Amino acid sequence: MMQPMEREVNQYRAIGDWRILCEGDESSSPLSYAMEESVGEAVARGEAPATLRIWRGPRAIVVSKKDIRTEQAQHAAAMMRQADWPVFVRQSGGTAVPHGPGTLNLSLFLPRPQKDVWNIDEVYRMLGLPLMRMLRDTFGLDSYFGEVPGSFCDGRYNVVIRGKKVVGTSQVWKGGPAGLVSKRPGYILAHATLLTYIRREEAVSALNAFYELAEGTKPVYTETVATLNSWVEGSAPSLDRRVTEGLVTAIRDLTGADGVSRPSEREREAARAFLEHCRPEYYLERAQRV
Amino acid sequence: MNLPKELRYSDEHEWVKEEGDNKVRIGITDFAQDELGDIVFVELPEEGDELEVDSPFGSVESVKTVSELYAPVSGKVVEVNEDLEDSPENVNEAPYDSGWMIVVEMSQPSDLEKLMDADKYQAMVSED
Repeated sequence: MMQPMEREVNQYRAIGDWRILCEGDESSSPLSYAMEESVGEAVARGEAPATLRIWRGPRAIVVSKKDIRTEQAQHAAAMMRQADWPVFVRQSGGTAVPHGPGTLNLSLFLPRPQKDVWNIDEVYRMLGLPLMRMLRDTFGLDSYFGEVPGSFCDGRYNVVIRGKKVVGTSQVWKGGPAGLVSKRPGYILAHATLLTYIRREEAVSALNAFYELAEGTKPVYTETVATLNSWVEGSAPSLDRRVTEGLVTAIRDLTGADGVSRPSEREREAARAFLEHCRPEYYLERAQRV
Repeated sequence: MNLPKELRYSDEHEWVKEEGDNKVRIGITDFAQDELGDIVFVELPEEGDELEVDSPFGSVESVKTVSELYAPVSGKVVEVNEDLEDSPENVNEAPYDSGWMIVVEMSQPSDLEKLMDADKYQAMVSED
């Protein structure tokens, strides 16, 4: 049974203006990571309303800055690139997440509130709500928030089905400390990665290979995670289509937004400028600049 | 909420302690660390970096959530708390002591005049 989330439903409805971005496979390039920053900046400047972005990244391991700060981690990233698992760096927290075919990302962008509107937990719950509704309404799968020790990027706001993690989540608050009022403009980005049909063992092996090279650990256990196609039959294209359509329907219902669009040309252009932030080498150069 | 009277405070929840010779020590407040939750990573500038008041100078991560930190004064970073690399929990455990973040040599000492005393900061936090 899905947890009651009336407060989060009301929070969606309290925001009058929403934009839904839905990007197809053509956006599966490194630029799709940089787009997270450019869309967020557009929301912060008030050029775009609160936004939900459905997108797919290229095959990659996506890490937080914390995980790429050492020379060993930089070496690990270079090795993983040679193994056809390039590493990209995200602005949000947590640990490594697999991206690529067989995964789908949902990003929630909110303008930084001038008053005490949302806290960290509420933003996580707002992010999870459309995913949980899609899982229930499209596939008849009940899901809930919870920790799954041994899973990738574990936290209290994993989306879990039958004890297995299917969605990882994280956040970044630009413009001041998270959960606190800030006078300056900024944005909140909460993003989620749903495992649809990625090869679970291969993805977990790649995550563990990165951490083994970076810090000598193998923190992820295969049996703690599951992909949607463990419970749902159908080809990969069919699953992609059903997940995307189900998510758009859930988001429309929550936000009242009708249209589905793509990032603006200005956002695409800005993303090109942000692209270096997504590359591990950028952090190495920063460390060596002094 | 612990708010030492001898410190000054920014509206972005940093504390600033004057140390003489135009130098100030900076960290985040007890209120901020409490709201953020368990801090697992602190990203700070390097010694020698120039900071501009009201611009980002680093970040902290808690609950898989990254928060930007904003410089309360302009100047050059002359000391960085490298212990936070291995012990970020010091920010939670002792925000005004071992949880300090950087020491800055101010280029515009007048920046201090824009900061709040403990009573004003307390009032701001209560209002929010």
